[in-house]
Amino acid sequence: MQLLFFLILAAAAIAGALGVVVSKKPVYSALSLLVNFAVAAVLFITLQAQFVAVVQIIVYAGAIVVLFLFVIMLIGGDLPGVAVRPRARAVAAVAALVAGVLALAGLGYALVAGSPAATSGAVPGNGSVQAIGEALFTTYLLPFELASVLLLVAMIGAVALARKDST
Amino acid sequence: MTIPAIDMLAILPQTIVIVTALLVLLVDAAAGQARIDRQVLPWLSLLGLAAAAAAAVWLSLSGQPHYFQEMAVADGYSLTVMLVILLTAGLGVLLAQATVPHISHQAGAYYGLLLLSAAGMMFMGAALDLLVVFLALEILSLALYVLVGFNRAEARSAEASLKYFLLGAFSSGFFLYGIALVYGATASTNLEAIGAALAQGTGASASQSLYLYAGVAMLLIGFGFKIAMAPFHMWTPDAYQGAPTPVTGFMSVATKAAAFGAFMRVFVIALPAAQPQWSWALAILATLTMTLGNLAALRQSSLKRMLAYSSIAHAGYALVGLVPGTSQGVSAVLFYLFSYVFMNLGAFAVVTALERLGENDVLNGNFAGLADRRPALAAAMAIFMFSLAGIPPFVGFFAKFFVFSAAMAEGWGWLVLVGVLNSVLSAFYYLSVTVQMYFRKADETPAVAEAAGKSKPGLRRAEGKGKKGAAAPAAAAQPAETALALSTRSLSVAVFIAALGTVAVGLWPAPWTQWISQAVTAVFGG
Repeated sequence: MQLLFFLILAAAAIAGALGVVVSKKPVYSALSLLVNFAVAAVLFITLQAQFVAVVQIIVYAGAIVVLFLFVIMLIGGDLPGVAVRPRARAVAAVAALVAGVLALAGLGYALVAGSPAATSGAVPGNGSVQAIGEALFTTYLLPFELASVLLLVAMIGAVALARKDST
Repeated sequence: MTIPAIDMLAILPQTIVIVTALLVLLVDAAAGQARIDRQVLPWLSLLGLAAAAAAAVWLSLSGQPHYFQEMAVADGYSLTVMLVILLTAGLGVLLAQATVPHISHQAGAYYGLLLLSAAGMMFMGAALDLLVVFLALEILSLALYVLVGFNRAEARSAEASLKYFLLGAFSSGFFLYGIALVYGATASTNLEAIGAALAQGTGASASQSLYLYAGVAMLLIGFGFKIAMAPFHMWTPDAYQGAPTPVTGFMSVATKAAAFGAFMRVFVIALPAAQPQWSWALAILATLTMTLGNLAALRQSSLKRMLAYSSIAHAGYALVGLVPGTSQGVSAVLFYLFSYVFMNLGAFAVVTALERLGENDVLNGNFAGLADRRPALAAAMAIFMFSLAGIPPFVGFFAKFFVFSAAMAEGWGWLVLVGVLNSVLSAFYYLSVTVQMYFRKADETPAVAEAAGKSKPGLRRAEGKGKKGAAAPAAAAQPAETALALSTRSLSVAVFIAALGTVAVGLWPAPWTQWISQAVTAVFGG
């Protein structure tokens, strides 16, 4: 049952990912990405990681894809200026193939050999909002606060770069 | 859920710097209405940096390390790294006063970002957990991406910023993936825990070591990018040349200090189990870095580009000290970074002083005959060049000597030989700058002469030699005249401090090395 469920979801995720690459129109690519993100969120739920699943929906499927769509609408649906040279396309294809094979090999190896982190992970309840909140405010207090400083830096930087330099 | 006990003293210096950054931003925001002169911002920044330095010295004198849970620590080692960064940031603020009013109206954002990036760098040195290392790395990088592109009037500055940002984001990805793989091998991101896990079961399972090596290689890429190690140095010349010169000076020294601070702790504390492997990798990379940096520096006509390649070469020399992975090597690298503050920031301070208004670089011809026009500046530049080349009475010689002898003690003879040969090679281009300043007449083309006349009055006055009154009225006509005079004075102070440090630490290295090696052995063991 679990395996069947996983296979269906995995097929949907791969279909979404393929749609991103294959679509001729950028808007379809972005929408396919949305499918991929949504399915990934469901996969996270099956791994007992509810919080990550919700964040995946809110941040990636919500904010990031919407951002993509905004940009696509702003610069126009099809991109006439970006003519990819066939040579560059071939290089990109080979690079993607190598990276994909390496990633697959690594994953397969991890499944066969097992890793200390993989065997100790996925405890029920570990991925709940409560557990993550508790970890953030106890064990990972300093990284949490540093993340706020990081966001502050990003905000100041964005304002400094974007503000009109008048007066 | 229990609230853990927290020792806030452990992050006191960083907190002071962050609070100062916020104050600077608030004062900047209120300055328009409250009629506050924005000239106070750099002084406020300096005050904060000094307070943080005082806190760091106080913490290190108290002796006991303070831990922030298991995430960060204020021990002798991290406090030394912090002091190096604070010194750099202070000099960086002094340099910035000369340039910032001319390139931007957002002085508050400039000093705020400078301070925040310094705070991120300080966390790099203090981090005990790979997560903290990563977040600190991102804080400092994000702030620097913006600072590099701060000169919005110049296209090259924007290009440098974009290049640095894209490649930097890419290298951060590598670093994060490295953390994930190391976590996969050891089930922890804490440095001590990683070290313990590896000491127990290294080599026990093949998968563990495969993950580990892949992870360590990726961490190496992440750190290597930040310290400008070949072959991850491609961004360096463009970013250093395009950035406003004070930013270049600050980032060339402080980023290296911060990245080495975390680099050494991660590799020596967490990964001693893989030391035979990473030692060889680092030795090869150090050879590559030194040779590539020096060979490329030989052929540059822009002073900033030359210094950029020279900073790549210096990253290579410093790496030599990390190769043996001993505490002797770590303290040698720390001393190297400390001395590098003076000589390299000093060189960039001179570049800032020589820049003409609206120009962001100094070409080879511009400092020909400098000794006649500005003897003090030329003398300071000569000191920095001699020191960077590693010529004895100056601090650069001892820095190289300690690094090389640490490698020699563990039998890395060939690496030391490569380093020495590279020093000889580097002397060629450093000395050619000196030769140009002293033994070549300035080819007084109208442009050069005019520029010399324009930038002279401020510095002349600052040196107390108001000889040339003729040029002064022209400068007085400019609205920014008071700012110019102030800034050149602070620039002279920066050059003076750097020259003083280069000479004084070179003549009396003993107290500094003693302090550093004491701090390092307390953390890294005998």
